[in-house]
Amino acid sequence: MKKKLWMTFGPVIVAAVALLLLLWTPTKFKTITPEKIDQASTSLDIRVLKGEDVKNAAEKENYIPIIGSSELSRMDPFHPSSMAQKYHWKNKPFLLGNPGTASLTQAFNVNGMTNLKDKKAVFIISPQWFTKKGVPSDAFKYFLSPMQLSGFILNSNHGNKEMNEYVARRAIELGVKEGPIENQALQRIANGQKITKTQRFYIKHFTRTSLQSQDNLFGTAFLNDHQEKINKAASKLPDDYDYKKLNKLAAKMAKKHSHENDLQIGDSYYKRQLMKRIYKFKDAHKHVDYLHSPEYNDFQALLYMFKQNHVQVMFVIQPVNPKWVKYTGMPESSLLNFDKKITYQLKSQGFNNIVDLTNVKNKNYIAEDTIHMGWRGWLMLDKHLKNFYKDKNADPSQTHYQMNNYFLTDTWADNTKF
Amino acid sequence: MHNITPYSSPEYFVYLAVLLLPIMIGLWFGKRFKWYESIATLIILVITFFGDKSLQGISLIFYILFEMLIVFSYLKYRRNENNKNSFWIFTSAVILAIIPLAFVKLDPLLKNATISLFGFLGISYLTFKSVEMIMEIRDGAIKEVKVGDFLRFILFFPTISSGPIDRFPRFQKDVLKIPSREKYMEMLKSGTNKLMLGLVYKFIIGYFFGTLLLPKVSILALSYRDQAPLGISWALVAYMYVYSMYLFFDFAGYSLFAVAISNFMGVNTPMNFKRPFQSVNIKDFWNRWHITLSFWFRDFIYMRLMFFMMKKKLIKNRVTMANIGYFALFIIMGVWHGETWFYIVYGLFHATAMITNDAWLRFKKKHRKQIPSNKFTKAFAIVLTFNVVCFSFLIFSGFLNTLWFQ
Repeated sequence: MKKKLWMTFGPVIVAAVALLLLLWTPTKFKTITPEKIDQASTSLDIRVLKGEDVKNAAEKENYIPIIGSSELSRMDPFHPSSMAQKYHWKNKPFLLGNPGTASLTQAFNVNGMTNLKDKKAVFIISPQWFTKKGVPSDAFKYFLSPMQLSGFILNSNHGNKEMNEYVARRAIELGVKEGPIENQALQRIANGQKITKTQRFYIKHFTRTSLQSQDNLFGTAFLNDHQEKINKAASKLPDDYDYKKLNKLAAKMAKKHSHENDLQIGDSYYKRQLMKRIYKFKDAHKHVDYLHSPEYNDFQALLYMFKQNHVQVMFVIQPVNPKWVKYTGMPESSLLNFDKKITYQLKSQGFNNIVDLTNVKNKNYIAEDTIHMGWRGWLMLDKHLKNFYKDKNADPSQTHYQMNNYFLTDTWADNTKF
Repeated sequence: MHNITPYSSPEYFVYLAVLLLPIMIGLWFGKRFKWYESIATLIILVITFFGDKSLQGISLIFYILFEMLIVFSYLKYRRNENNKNSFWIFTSAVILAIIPLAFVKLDPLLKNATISLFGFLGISYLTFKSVEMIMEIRDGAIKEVKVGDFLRFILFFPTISSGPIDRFPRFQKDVLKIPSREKYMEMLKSGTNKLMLGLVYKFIIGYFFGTLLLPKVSILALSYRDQAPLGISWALVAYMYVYSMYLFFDFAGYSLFAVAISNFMGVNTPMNFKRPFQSVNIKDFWNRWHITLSFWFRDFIYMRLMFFMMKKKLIKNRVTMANIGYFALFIIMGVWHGETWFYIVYGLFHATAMITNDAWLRFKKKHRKQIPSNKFTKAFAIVLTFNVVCFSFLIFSGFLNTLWFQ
């Protein structure tokens, strides 16, 4: 009978012990190979965004992250990943962003990329994030990584206190609920207190260790693969890099891909998303306003994360399809004012490397569809990236940022004079 | 602390393991620690209902008191031999027992959050059990109930949130005796198998379909909504199958847990699923899918209605009577799921399918010689039934509501 008992529960006990060892001992498996990093760099898989392992491995190799949102999935031939492959850039883009990721998600993401220290990064800003309500709670919760959250909590005794308070408060406000102990710790940080020793112990040795093991084991298994797409895109580029020729080619290709409508919107996107209800958008954005938004404060938190790691960042202000602007009746001033405000926030704190695509002269085919850069837009950015990507280490003279907590306040979020 | 939904997180299984161990050791040595089982039940109830705000827990307490009052009053009425077995008193007792659930279900419809005083996880399943008791008290199948027995049956924690729905006389038989060591060993073995299978179902296969795949096909199907009439696309077809798989593996996994934990406590809670996707027709399907619920509906709604109609001679034609029964059963089931058009349509769809199936079986019986019956026709029947069922789940999912109206 005892044997029967063992035959029944033995395997379960063995399995349970094996699981505990797997999750809570620092055994690391070599799951991350150069091929995996390469796949992850264009996969746009949410596990890459939420994880830490593969990104930190990539920082040791020749990758420079491009952090943004939905535009990253517009993989036409002029997409940086395609260009880097075709023209053999010394460093390759590592894409981090999905439809719905905005400043605060990326602040947690950047905070988790410890190996980004003293390195370079590119960050693409979308004006559409800066709405009155800011990032939707659902989107933020969907992209919030429990591991990055635990990292933030454990790091909260370093860095700028006001910023830590702000991030914790905002996470609570957006409805983050991880576990009772994490929630209490977050509340303490928001109140300006230090987390307790028990909280630190639990989160460090219990939560975080297990999440790290999971990231190590499953973070790169069965990733989305966009390599085929990139190969196909790159194959359409001429062998020699000549900006003028490429510029013409981009316009030509874009025209071909958008001949079914006169808004320069890619046909497949137009057909799928707009055709049936295009009339609904006519003059729909007449009162659009990007000047009052909590997103400005979230963005400031992101800047702090870059500053803490002395990252040399190139900021890109994403253009909007000019024909779309006209069709939807968006006032020119709304984009120009946004541009001014965000530029002020950046420059006044020493973030001077800004590629501003809002004000370029010839804006034809600058976007892939409505609000996502593509074709000529990508190409204009590539011109800047080409030099930036020559060396992945930050130039120390370019990382003297002077942070100003004014940008964490409601006053700044609603300010219209700058 | 927050409420922990049964079987939804690793912590819950850890709590369960710790709480179950003394019960299992007891049963192994031929003892049932009644007082300990009560304490364990109390702890699980606290974890499940009193974690967040205690609102759910307080509702549960009032609900139990209310149902107890009805069941025991009705029992007292039936035990007095001078009383007739009045139809109206019986009906009133059933209606009263259902009122809390009706409030909870009607609440979203009225958009008035105040009336559902009794809202807590699993209220439906507790109500099914209470109503079953009243019905069987009327039939005389239940003659005696002690307060402790009532509470143990209603609050049996392995099945508290979503069944399977046991029956009082059957349950009593299990808990009043202690299985022999050989028998208990068998139960432990089968319980462990079910527990492991449940983990595979719910947390691996169900997770794959529900968490990984479903959002992707959902986005895809929504992106094609303007391409064809009614938003029909291949992605929608994919959604239908993915959702059906998710629904089965998630719920079957949960049910396996509930039966497994019951086994560990020496109770043979009935199984809820029996390879439903191998059904040869829709009637067969309902004998294999969410079995304890469909049998509950069969015994306490369909059959009762049949007897009632026969006794009162309301309708002569047996076929018509059966068809009315199907509609009643499935509309009630639809309404029970919730007051939305898609649950009602789901009910109507299944009623129609049952009626069609009956008609076909009658036709087949008459023309037995002309209609072939072999391996291929059986395979065809299974494939057809599977697709009919999946289509009904697409209605049930509410995705069409999102696709068309939002």
